[in-house]
Amino acid sequence: MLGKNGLQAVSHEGKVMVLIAFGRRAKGMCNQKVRNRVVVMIGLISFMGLHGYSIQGWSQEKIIKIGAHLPLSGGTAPTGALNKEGIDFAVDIINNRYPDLTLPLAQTEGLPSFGGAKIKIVYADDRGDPNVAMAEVERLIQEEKVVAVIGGWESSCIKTGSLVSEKFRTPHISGAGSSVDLTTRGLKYYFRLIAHSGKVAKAYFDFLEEMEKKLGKKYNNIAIAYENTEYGSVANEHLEREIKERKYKLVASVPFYKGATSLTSEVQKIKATKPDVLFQIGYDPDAILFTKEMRNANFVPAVWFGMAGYTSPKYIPSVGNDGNGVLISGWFHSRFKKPVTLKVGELYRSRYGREMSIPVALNFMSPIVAAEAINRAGSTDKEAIRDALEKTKLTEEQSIMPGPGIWFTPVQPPPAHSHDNAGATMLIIQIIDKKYEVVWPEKYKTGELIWPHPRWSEK
Amino acid sequence: MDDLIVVIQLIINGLQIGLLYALIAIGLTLIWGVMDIINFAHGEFLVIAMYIGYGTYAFWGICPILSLPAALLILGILGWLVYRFAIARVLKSENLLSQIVVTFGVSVFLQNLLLFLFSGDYRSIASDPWIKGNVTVNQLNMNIPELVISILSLLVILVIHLFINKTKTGKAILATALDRETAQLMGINTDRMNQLTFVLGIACLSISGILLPITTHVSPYSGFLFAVLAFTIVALGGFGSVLGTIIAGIIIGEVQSFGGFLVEPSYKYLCVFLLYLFVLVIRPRGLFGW
Repeated sequence: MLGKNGLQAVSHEGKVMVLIAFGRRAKGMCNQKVRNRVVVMIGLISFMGLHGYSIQGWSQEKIIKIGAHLPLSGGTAPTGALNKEGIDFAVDIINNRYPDLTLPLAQTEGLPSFGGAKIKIVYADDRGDPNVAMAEVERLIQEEKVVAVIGGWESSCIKTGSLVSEKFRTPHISGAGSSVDLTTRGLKYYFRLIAHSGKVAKAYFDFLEEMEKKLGKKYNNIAIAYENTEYGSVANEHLEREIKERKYKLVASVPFYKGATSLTSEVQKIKATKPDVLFQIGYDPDAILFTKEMRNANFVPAVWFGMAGYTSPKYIPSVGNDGNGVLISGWFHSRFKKPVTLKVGELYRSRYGREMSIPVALNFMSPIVAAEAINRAGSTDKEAIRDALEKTKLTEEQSIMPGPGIWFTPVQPPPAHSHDNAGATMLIIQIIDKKYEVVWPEKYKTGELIWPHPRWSEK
Repeated sequence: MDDLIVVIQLIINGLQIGLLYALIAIGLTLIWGVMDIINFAHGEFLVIAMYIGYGTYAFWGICPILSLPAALLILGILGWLVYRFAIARVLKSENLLSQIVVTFGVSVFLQNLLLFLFSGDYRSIASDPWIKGNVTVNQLNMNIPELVISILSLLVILVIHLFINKTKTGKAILATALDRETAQLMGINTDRMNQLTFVLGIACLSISGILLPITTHVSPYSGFLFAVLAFTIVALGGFGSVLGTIIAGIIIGEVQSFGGFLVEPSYKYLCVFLLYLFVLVIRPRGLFGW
């Protein structure tokens, strides 16, 4: 408008003023454009943001989180690691298709009720310490927002962890934890799969009485050595109850510290009472040390029952042939005659190159039971999952564990059992030539019983 | 007759375990007596020796006794390093707390290092190729690995006793323990004596440590109870007294053996610590302390 000549005519100051004015106008015009663009961008981003989850949802899998607390460090870490392996193995079966297996959710990928949502396990290390277990279960529930909790190995850790689950109304399913007390607390959210120590004690004595009838001989004097935490103490109580009811004689009941470095006094005390039958209840290091001390003392009873630590992956490598002949209460054996167990055992062997052991199997069923209930509930609401768990009814072929299947007792006031697996059944397993073989009941046998316990010179 | 057999068996068991404890405690008594340092890492050094013994068996299938030279060397070097870079610095400090804290710190470090290297798994030698079996004489039973450890313990304690009392260096160590300043005035290099004592104290653990995996299990946590008992023995026997350590070790072993049998096995350590408290009340410097 001013034209070249016009601009030349304007003074320097004027030019500056014009430029400033033009600049301001231009800035204003630019600001408007920029503002418009920014508004459009913000709108677009908001739109995307509001629908971002959906967009992500379309391209990302749905996940349902289940928490698991296990001893991944500390003295029982080897067993904890095997438990974890069992859980991971089960989750792989849930999340992928295995049409040959009759386990729940094996024929589908993920949970059908949730459009194929996958199960994801969030692990927490309880270190085998009940206080840590409490803190870790709370963290899983509050921070990780899991819909259910599984796992636990030590009864003492499950006892405290399940109290936290109860407080936060979160279903808690444990595959291990045989202490009777776990299900006699009237808890509404805790479910247990394993046979409790009352059933274990009963199985031991049913087996012993059967052998006595077969051989025409009475093994009257019984000694018990037990680790003095929740598991050992409660197991001891139930053994003593069976001894009293079946009119055996308890000649020694010796508690010891879990993880002790010397058990010489304990073994000497037991040896002096000359028992026919010995029960030794302890975790991994206790079983190893006890066997060595028995060897050191040159003492071996006619019948030697071991519990828990004798199934540790470290036991046989640590004691070698000294472990031969020990009879163990077993909740599982990979080759006992049940089609689904044999198939799962074979799959495990092909994947991991070894037999599926008790620690692997014990928590194998817990994610399957949890996922099946979640699927049946069709909801991640914890109350709905809890209600579905109460109605669980798995048949014999839907569980790798011995027995007629899985179903839970209703919630009852103590001392009755609440949410205990009524179908849980025990095996008696013996270490024969450094291998675990089922020797009782007859239906599930995989090896021939050695009786009585071999002398040290024969091992 | 049966009762007599049981009593003699308890005496034998107590003697065996007592000599083992004495051997573990002897290093601690030297360190404590000469340097006035409480070595809270004593248990962890023992565990390192146990891993060396176990490793010899696990990798080569040979008896852990053959790893003794390597164990002495490794523990000796480790002891020197810890002395040089941790202990020596706080010895100059007048602050007792810093001396306590530094060995506690070494203990925590070593335990976690072992956890990192070997995990928390419990390991044990299933069957040693050389040292195995039992000797049974008239119903009295002696386990051969424990017998070997007891004999070695006696020999080592005797050697240390002779070294301390009959050699020039040993007397220099004794002098340093009795009166550091006077020893310096007499021309004794007390820093070197401290070094030597610390290294010797740690190296003593190698003999007991390498054979322990035959009779018990080894894990990063295994050293704690042995260390606590070693402290008790040192305090009971008297700081710096080798003879006191042997006697106290045997006493503790017998109390543990009889206490566990007559009272209750789970109270065996209670009996040990009650005795310890009783002796301390009557004689605070221990049985043979200076």
